[in-house]
Amino acid sequence: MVVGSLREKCSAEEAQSRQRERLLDPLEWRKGCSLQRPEVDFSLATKKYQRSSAGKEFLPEEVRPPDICLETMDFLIDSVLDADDAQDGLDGLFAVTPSLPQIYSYLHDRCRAVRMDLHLQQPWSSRTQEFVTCHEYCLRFEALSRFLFSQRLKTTNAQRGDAGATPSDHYDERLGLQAISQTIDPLLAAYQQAREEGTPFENEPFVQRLVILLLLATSPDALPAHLAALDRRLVGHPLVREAIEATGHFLSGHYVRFLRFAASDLWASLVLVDLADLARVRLLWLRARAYHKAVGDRWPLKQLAKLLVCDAELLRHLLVTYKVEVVEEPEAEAVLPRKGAWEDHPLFCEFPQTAGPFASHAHLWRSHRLSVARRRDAVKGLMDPTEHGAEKKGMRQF
Amino acid sequence: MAGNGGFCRSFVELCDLNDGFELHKLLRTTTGTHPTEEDKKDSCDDDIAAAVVAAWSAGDTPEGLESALDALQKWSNRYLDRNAKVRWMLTPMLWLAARTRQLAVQLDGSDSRRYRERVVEGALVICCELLRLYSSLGQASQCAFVLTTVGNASKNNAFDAVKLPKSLLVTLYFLWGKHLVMAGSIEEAEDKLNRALAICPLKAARNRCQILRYLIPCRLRLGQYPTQGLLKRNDLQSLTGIVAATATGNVKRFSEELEKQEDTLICWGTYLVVEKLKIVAYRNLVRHVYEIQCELLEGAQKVKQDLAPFEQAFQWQDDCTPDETLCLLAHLIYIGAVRGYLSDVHRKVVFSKEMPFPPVSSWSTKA
Repeated sequence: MVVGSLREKCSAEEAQSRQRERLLDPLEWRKGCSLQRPEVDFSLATKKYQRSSAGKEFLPEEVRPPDICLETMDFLIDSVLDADDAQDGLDGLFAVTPSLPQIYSYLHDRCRAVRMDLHLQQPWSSRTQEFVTCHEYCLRFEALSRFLFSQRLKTTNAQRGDAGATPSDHYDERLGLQAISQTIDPLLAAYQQAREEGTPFENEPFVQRLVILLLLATSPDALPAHLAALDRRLVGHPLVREAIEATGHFLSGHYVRFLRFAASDLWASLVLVDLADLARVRLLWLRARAYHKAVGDRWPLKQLAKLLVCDAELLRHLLVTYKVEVVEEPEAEAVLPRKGAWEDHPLFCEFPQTAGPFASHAHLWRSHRLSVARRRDAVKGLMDPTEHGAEKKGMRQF
Repeated sequence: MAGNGGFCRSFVELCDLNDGFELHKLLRTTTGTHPTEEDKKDSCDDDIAAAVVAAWSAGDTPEGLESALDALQKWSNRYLDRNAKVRWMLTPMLWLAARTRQLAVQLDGSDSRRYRERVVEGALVICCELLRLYSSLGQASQCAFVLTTVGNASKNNAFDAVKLPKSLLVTLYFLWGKHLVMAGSIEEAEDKLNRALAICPLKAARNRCQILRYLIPCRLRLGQYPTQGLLKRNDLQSLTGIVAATATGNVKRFSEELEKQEDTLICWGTYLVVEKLKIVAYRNLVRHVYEIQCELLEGAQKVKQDLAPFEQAFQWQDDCTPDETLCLLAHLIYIGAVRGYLSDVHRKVVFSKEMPFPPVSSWSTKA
């Protein structure tokens, strides 16, 4: 049984070794050092992920105990996650101002190293709060990154010339989902163990909710089996119940209710952003198909925006994408094409399977004002939905 | 080559010396040869050496394969149990693993048809256990590979279902149907579960109940409603409320019953299938409103009805706003549950004169 005894974020030996071999990350450089021969700042260095290989033995002095793992995670989130924002009061901490992709790459590796240290000390480590908290941070970080780096955000911002996430090869969605999966498995196992011992962890309902939403967004086929394996006490929790009902709404075509759920809290919005766009496109498509094409029809934009749970700008973008005319007088209305003008119209082709070239990430970015500080709050769980919020809202009130 | 003093002795000596390379060479000498009398007589304190000698003696036979597997498994266990200095064990492991694979391929190729016929039942038993295992591990996606193989074997007449033991068939069809229910393939699921139910003896009440748990939601989706007696006989009264609500278009009651049964349905894995029955309930609600309006209206007005009664009905039954009602009606029109069209400007829903409400089975798979 391994009990880690390394009481630092990174051992001096490893830091010096990486300095000699020029394997330091720029976020570990000492401020003011030569860029040609960078030197390590021991207060910034964190242990790098090392792949385990057959026969490799991990010594206790190379492994951080759970409390140091949590300290490391706190440092990564409080100091590194927002290092791309020089105005965030972190002037002077790092030798460089990294880009968001560089931050992701660094954090992805260092979080994996933390999880590795915790894994090596199982089974005892998985009973600790630190184990669970570290994995929760990792999960939120990867889920947030998945949103931040989605292709469409890059495309949108690149087209608009915004500052922000730029096209990069630092994020691979497949690897990101793999990291999420590698984080979820031990976390759920720790939750189950704690429940069986009668000491459940506080955040479990939120994480279970997040897992359900992630499955809905990425592998809906796995949902029935996953739900069937849930503990019955969890199924009855308002946060989990809401997520289950939302999956039912999407899969059965009740898109209006699904959209309202998707807009109800930050994490639902981030995880379900692609499905929400798809739901909007499908609603528009369904309503267009249900109207008699000889007549043509008009929809007030205000009404449509409320139905699709989006603001006016996003709605106009959607309508332009689908070549729906908008008249401004007497009130702004969307005008469906009449018969004779609708052959090959996008609204009358096959039932949409993807949202297509429809950007809502930028909208979401603005509407939630996912500022640098909120990024930190989100990963630390300060923006998690609460049980009481879920009870108050209830699906039926919409 | 059994060096001086027999194979087993040489084996033990090389293990004590941690000489993986020489041990690999020793093992290779057993390929294509027969053990000498000295090798056979050599007393084997080492169980792995004994298993290798047994495989060597048996040659390219199923017994030889079994002994080779035994040797490989024991060697692997020994490798895992040792805490230090294990690298030397890898080279012999390469030989043991390769030998086992080669034997298996060889045996599979020779006299394969007779062999296959003999083992098909065992293979199906293993398939059933694999399906159960994957379900319990939450790896439902792996079931598809197993079922595809079984399906292909069945199509290629690799086995005749009629000749297989009924207990095996019931289990296989049930697990297959259950997987299809979870995957949302309702028609195929209904077919497999029907077969399971047809073969399952009447006295196997518990098994029949399990099959019906999945079969009834499938049948409901296809517009077939079970009788009260069937539900009662099979201890499925919990579904009575949902069945009645769906049939009568009582969306409010459907939502209440679904909430009440949510835990149970999730545990069974049928929650998402049953949830989709709500669209059938909506369709029946629309039909009731349509029929009531037809009695009050005359002539062309019967098919060109105002939206207001539908909005009121949906608001009463499911707290739907007028816009939500329109979206739900649009969805029903798209999937073919209602034939007609909408007009927001004129605030009308126009129904088809012929069969405005096609039978559920004609559109349920599109829902």
